[in-house]
Amino acid sequence: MSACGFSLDNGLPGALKKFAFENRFPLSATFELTPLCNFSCVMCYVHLTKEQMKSRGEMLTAEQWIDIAKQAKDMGTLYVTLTGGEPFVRPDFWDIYSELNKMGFLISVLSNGSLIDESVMEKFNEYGKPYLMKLSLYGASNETYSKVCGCPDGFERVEKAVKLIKNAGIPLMLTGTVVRENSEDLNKLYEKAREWNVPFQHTVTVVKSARGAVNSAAESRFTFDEFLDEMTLEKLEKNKFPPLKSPFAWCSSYGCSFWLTWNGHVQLCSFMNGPYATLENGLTDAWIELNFKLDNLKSPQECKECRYAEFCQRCPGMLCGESGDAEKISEDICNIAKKLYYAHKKLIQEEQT
Amino acid sequence: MIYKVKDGFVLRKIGPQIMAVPVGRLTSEIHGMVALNESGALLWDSLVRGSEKEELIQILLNEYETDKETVTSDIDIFLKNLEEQGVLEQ
Repeated sequence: MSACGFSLDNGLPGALKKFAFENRFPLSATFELTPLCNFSCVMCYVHLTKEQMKSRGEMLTAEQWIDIAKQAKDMGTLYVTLTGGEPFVRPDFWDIYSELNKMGFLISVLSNGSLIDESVMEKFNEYGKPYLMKLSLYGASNETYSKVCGCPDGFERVEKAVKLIKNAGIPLMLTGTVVRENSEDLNKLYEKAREWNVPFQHTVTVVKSARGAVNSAAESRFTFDEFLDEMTLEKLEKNKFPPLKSPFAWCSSYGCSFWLTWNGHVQLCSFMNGPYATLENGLTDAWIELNFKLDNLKSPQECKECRYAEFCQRCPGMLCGESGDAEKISEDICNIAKKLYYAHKKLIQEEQT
Repeated sequence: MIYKVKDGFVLRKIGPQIMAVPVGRLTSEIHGMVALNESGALLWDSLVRGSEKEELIQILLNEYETDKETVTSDIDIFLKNLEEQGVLEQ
């Protein structure tokens, strides 16, 4: 007999993930409840207007989401992330949330924070608090929120949400995407996060819109050249990638996770809109079909003989977002790898002399 | 003394791992999940109903070939952990 066990998450997520991958079941799932959003961010690749949405399919109903969640629970899903668009714009958000909470999922909610007020906190008290709230932080002032998100009081609203969530004792994380429109706020974003005592991470990665959304990624995102001067030999060495044994060698979602879009496409991640499976024969069939398709996915032929490969941060999702096809190279990604390769070579030479 | 876990846990089995996940209002008191090993899971149903320690000891003695002293010691640790994490009713 072993000692009676008790722990609170200690070491469990990693071990469970390994088990899920080895046994091919979806330990985690992301439910993209809607493509609609009250923000219009310049870099968003999901947001659709109601008119755009109608031309691309129908949003799954609350009943459908609940039924899918029941199937996911039976398949072994523990972690569920609710996202959008903005999940709180759904009038039936709480119908979905309360049922999912009852099923015993560890629920994370990804939101822009602008619709989170006292009434949302009351609902969380009533239906159960999420495992994690993840808010996006796109500026340190209303002015920046106006430029990035088209929301003139966005910062005020998000700041209020942060305080409410913190006061409610709900674990909170902040994430930000830095584009030209908010780059001057970057240091202030970290200052704000420190002031609120909330972890914050930013990214400059903006993927082109591959799912029907209209964004201005090409104009708003930074080009890689703008970061090249900051590259040191140490950084470059650290970011070298070993040859890929499979297209998903670096992917943490492959084989243990799925992303379900607002219109019922079961896919690997948000960027990777193909291959996907549909729910006609239920989630289990869709999961098997998706993984069969992913297992048969090949890296672009060009990548196999590419001399710059060890500096290429490609993944099928990024390729899909950038070139529209997970098996096709993207000129932008190739150029970044090429520049890193030569920057590395130059720094090596400089060190030797 | 009766030992009873608070109302509002859903027992989940994910692969080989059994865990109790707090739902509804209980999430305000307990965050995350309570991971149970095989013997912890065996005791869980009795703890949901509410049980004396002696009953819990008997459950494990019926299941495992071991002595009462070892079982009692394990259960004491288990109950102490549950109590410290706020899982047991006062």
